[in-house]
Amino acid sequence: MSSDLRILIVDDSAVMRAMIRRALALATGGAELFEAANGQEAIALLERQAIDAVFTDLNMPVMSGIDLLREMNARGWTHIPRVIVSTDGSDARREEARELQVELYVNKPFEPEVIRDVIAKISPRATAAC
Amino acid sequence: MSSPRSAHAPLPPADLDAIRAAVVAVAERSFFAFAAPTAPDTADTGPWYVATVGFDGPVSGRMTVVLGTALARSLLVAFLGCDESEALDEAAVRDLVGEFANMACGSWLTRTMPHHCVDIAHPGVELTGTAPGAPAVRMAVNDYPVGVSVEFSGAPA
Repeated sequence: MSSDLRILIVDDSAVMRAMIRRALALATGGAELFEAANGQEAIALLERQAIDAVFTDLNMPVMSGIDLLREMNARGWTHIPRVIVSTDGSDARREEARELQVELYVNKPFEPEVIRDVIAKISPRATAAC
Repeated sequence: MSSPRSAHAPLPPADLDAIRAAVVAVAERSFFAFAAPTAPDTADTGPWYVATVGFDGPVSGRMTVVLGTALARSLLVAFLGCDESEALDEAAVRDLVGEFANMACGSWLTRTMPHHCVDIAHPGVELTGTAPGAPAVRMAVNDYPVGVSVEFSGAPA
């Protein structure tokens, strides 16, 4: 069930994290939500906390979203569904994401209902990876 | 790929239309706001938030978005579904304005350079009593004025 998920939100904007948090709370009906302001904080959290899915921005200081995804791949964490949430909707960036084995991409700006659709896609995968 | 951009040349009509479309998309999808491609009839006396977002790729430069404090606070309420009292958190309002500009810039870049990776810098936001000089695009969001300008880091014309 999506309400059993543990989801990490990675974005350098506190307001954007709050918005995604709200959308995820509505979409999952009670998933446990965690936050990080950049890729480095995300890695530190992933080292100590079991996470079922990661929603990440790309353009962040300290460690970008792309570098976060590369680091997760290097550590063998490819079983964790990753969702990119970014203003960059270019073909080139989407291809870069695919090369990093990330298929789910949410373009900012987005309607909150988009998050519900993403959760429906990742929920069976996240549950199976646990 | 578009031709090299001069730092001082006016934006071509296609770029101006892409800016308007980007602001409309941002306002309507994420902020449940109504955006019109022309300046409103009513004036806004400010103060003003001025958000600047740098971009670097096949072309480089910065986008500047200017909007008044009343609009900024109302957008925060809509974005988060929070109370009006929470919209008085200055840090949250600045963050929101920066994110608005970030999304407008990203959306504009995706429309004008869909096949290229462009890095977008963290937005800088200032509060000022006087709105900066004439923007390239004047729009209305919920009947409040919004100004958008783009400067390219190119060779002088």
